[in-house]
Amino acid sequence: MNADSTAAGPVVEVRELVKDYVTRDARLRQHVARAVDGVSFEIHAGETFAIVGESGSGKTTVGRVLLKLTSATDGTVIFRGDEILDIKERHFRPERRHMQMVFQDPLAAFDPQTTIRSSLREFTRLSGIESRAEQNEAIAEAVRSVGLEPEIADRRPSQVSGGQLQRLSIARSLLPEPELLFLDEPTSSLDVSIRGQIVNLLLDLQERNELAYLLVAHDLRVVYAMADQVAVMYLGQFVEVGSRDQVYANARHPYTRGLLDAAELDEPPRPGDPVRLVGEISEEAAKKPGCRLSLRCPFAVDRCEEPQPLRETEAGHLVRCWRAIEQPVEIGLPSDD
Amino acid sequence: MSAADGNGMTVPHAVDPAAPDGGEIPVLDVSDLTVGFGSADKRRSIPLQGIRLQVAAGERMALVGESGSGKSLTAAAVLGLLPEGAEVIRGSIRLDGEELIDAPERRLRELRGGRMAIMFQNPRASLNPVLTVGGQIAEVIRVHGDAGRRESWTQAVDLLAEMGIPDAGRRAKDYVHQYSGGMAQRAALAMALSCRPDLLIADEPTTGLDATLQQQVLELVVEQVASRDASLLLITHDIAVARAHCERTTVMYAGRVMEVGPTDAVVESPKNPYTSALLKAFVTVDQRRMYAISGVVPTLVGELGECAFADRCPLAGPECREDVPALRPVDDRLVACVKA
Repeated sequence: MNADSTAAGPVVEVRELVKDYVTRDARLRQHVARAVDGVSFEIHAGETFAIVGESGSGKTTVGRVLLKLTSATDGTVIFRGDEILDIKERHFRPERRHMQMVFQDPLAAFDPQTTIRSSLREFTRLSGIESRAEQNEAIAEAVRSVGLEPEIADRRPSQVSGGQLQRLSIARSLLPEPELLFLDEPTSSLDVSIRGQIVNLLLDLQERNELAYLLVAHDLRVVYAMADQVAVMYLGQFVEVGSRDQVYANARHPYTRGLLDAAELDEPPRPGDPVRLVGEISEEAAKKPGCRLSLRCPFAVDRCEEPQPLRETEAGHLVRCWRAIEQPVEIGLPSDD
Repeated sequence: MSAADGNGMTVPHAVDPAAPDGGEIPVLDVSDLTVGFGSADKRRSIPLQGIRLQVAAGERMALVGESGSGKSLTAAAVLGLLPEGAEVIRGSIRLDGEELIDAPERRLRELRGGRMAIMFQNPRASLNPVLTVGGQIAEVIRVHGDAGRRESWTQAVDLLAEMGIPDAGRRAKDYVHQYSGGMAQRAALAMALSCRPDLLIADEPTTGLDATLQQQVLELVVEQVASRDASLLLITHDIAVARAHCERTTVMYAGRVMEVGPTDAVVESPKNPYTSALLKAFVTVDQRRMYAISGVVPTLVGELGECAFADRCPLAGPECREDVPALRPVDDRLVACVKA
């Protein structure tokens, strides 16, 4: 692997990623569902790129492909300067420790039959620590770094609270000293009074270790607190991408506006009329050539059934909606400033 | 404020200053409800400690709390569906003035499909997977009314259409697994309303649904309940949902009621420090931080002799440890905090 190129460029760069799932029905006919359809983005050290969207949008699949937990159908992923999608698992294994995942359900990260310490010990081996004393030292340091006493590692997963276990699963993912963490709904199994603790811990760890985060979440408050860049995903495509403030305070796509509206956020204020979406996400709409939201969108007109590219509305702010760019006032947006 | 039951838990007849029309009997009147698990010794866990909850006729009340606060267990007690091992230690649950504690199971069953109904988080829990959606709603209509087979089917289809299910005549013949999540929740609402209840209990009815769908379903629930002059008890962990849909809110924490009042007032000027903390956890702040309440929710073994939030409360002082704070009237609401 090329170590020099990692200093300047992004930690990870994703170009035109495509992921198809092939299923068969009772008559063995093949059905192809495109879960991810041409997604591109990059994440720099110390930055959080968040993907928001409803279930079925494909947001978790993006992370899973990125970590090579499932294969890609098309596209490229450049991690620390090298294309990784075509690398065989055997050759990729030494590289894998640089990208780790924090699961939605922290129980998934630990073996219920054994102590947390012995699960963590496995991960110290990934960074080449063989002596037991040094392993315990690394475990103690990781557990302290997430705000817990090292002795807690001698318990089993069922003997600690949900918030503590999520802290321990973060400690686990940090042991191999990764550069990229995929945070898959890291707070959605936690109570609101604990949620802030975990968000703040992740932010502190990011600052201390210059970590790149890929955050997938449906909690728009968590995304607001954590993200630098935000992509809004709908049926496999990014429909709006920009800085956190561009997406939250200047949402242009009707879907983004509907999502922010439904979340009952009090801040930040959004210009333009509130948007009510009707109906629900349907995989059938993913097969259309044009806008996939049109059946649910109050502003849909004939031209929306033509293919909709992601277009720039201001520097760094992309929208997949021709009306948001050409007819903002007609769809309840303030005219371009 | 002294308490009659000797443990300082509840003022027995704390009158809610903002309750709409004090003269009428509330549809639901829960007082001093205390529920325990396990045998009656010191290690018995007491997940509900002196719950007071009133829902007036036509009112929409939110019951807000984190997991483990006891909000769903309160609903289960009202419905007479406490899990095995749970036991009502004391207290009263009245539906339209009728006492439900120790009521015979036969009577409870009558009331469950009749004057009160529930919608669960998972709509598939309220619908039978091996019967058609229309068929089972028609059956409820037939059992609770005097409609015949054909008439009850027609009413079931009408009800599904009213809930916004397109092509209801055809979809009524489908099974629930053929419905999308949003449609299934609409069908569950039709099922719950089919017996014309006075009280609809909706237990996190939209938690599993996506945000844009959540809004649609909650608006439908509110609209349908209002058009039937029924009352709604909406159980939710999300205080923003309470604010958007309910006139009044009861906040629970660790098996206790912390604050009761008009939702706007509770949200805009909370009087219990726990309510303030919970609200701050929902505020979006323009900095790379979220508000965090330190510590963890206490696990309830036995009844605490102090405020359940004292360990995590920024305002806690020695007086908070002396006794369980009584739920007492403060201005336009009830608050269980000695500092309020």
